[in-house]
Amino acid sequence: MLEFKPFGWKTLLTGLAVMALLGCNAKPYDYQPTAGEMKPGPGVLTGEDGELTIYDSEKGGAFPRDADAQQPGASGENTAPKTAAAGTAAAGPSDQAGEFREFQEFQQWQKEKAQFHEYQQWKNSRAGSAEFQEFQAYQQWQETAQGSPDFEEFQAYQEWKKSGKSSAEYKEFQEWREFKAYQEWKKTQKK
Amino acid sequence: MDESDIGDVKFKERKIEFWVGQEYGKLWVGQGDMASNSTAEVDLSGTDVAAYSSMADVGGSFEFQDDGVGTGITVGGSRSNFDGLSRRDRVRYDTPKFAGFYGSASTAGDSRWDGALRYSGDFGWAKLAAAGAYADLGTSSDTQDSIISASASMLFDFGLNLTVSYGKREQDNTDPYNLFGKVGYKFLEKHAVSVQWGHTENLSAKDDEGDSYGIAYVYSPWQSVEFYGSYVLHTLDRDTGSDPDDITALFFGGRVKF
Repeated sequence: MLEFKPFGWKTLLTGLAVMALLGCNAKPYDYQPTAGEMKPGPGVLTGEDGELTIYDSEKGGAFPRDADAQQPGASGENTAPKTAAAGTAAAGPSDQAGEFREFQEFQQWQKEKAQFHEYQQWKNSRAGSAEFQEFQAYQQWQETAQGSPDFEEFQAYQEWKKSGKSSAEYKEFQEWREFKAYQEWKKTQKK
Repeated sequence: MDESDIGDVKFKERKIEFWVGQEYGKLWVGQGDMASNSTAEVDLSGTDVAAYSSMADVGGSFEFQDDGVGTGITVGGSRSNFDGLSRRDRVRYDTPKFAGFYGSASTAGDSRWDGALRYSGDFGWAKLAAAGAYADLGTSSDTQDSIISASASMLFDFGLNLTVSYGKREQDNTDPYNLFGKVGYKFLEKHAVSVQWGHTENLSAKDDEGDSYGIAYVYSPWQSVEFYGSYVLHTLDRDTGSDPDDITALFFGGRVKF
């Protein structure tokens, strides 16, 4: 049953050879077939993943484990990570406060964009980069002295991702935060 | 009590499967895509909800008529994209990805088996996706032996996209095959338009030619919602006797992902 006319094999092999040559210079790209199928991505009710998870040992799911945490006797220690993992669907008051803080930061960022872009240009200049290195050293010292803010950063990142913002925009947002920290540092230097 | 509604409701499973593995590839068991499924349907145009290589999906049950007399040949009976072995109860293995490539193999009842190779890559200025497969029909048919299918689609970063598909079934005396081409354009992030043509030969009968021409437009206001419109012209050129009348289809619709 493996008898093919030459045309089919030649077509396939030529195509694969061309792809192999082209593929040497390509970045990975995850293509999902959509013809005749539902396309991947968010759904109206199923959130960013476009999937309804009945149970997930890490995230919870349609019946999230947060419900367990709210039952009498549930330990507070387990509540925070579960809430963070279950996402906005199970967001509690502390998450809402965090979201509001982030929103305020976002508004501030929008207002200060022009000033921030000037700062970026300065940072890339020769004089700026030397001072910036000093600032980075100060940041490292501060982090080791006061502990890592990784968890808060992670939460902010997750929320940002859920809002559908692009990674480039998120990077700029992070740089702006760094700029704000730099401004604070400059104030302390003047004192 | 009127129970007609109960009788009308039918549930048919599309996919019920589980898989294991990640680093060394994936092993799938259950009803799902055979390795060759969708290898003739790679499409980056953004209009595939309205038009793709399976041109018979639009008006497939309409029968060609010759001066008002039915020919017994439908749109779906005279064109196909020969897209592998569809979904079956099967065991399937997918290799890990290497430089954008990965291979798949699966086997199902009646000694059916298939193998496929897929590629996807992003060059910065364009994205390319392609697939090719061989499928053996085993003992499931006395007249059909195997299917070979392949397709490729390229989407340039400025929106232009090109898609081609080829499929062929090894079959007693006829060996029907299909060619498909599409040129599309994506613009303003939410819009996609394309023109496409499909040509199937030898399917309804030896040397019969079924051609389909189409224009499609899709508007996606949000990622989960698509509105579409399409115009398709189906023709059938018979080897014997007179050619039946063309069939024109114009349709609009929407799709919401919940």
